Amino acid sequence: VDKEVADRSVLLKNMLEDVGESDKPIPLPNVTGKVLKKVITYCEHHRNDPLPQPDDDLDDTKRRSDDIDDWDADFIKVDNDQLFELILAANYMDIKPLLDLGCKTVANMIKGKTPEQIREMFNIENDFTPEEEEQIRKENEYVSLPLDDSMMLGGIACLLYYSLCIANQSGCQHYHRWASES
Amino acid sequence: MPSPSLPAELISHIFLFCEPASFLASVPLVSRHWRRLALDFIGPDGVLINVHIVLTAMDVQDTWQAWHHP
Repeated sequence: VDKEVADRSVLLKNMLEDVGESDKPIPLPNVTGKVLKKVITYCEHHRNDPLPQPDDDLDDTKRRSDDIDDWDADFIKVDNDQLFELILAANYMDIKPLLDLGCKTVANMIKGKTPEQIREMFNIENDFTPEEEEQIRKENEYVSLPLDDSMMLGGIACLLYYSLCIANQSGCQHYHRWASES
Repeated sequence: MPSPSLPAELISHIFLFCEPASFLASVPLVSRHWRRLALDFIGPDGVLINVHIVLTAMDVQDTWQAWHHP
């Protein structure tokens, strides 16, 4: 593998810097040959991409899961076992773009799924009692969703309406003057 | 066939990319472990954090009062 390709992995990059010029193989005990082959394919395709920056995590726009390009989408079309193994390998080898690609794919798989379907996907046992499940469902009803642009416009409209209602009730002079003039 | 289990840090990393409605509707109900991880994304005032800013009814009232009774 070219050094340029190996450098996509921060783990390998650091190891190569520590070892220096050498023909000795680098052991990767936590990655199977099949998964490593797939990881190398990814790194070869992305060899010229800019390296991720430390403050990328702070950028909310990079937390989208619908920005996967065609090549990556095709690359990540694997069964669940291999997908999870790729995520584990990307995490171990410190290849952030591949880690993000795997996690975005799982996030897209979660979208619209019931808790039972998610349990099946991840092989998770349901350890809630029926009473606890009901309680959590009720609690979640009070959790607010973040606003997208259309909801933000709705929120502003509600804010204006709510303000006018309060102004009307409290006998606000400015409101009554404005209401009688208009 | 059982899938390999992911460590907590990676499950949380997946949550970062989850669509909020699905996240709230399903993730806290998967298991106790997932609920604990999901709670890191829900603020004490019941607002989903780490994504965008949300105006609650109290914010609206506070804003109106701040405008009229600074």
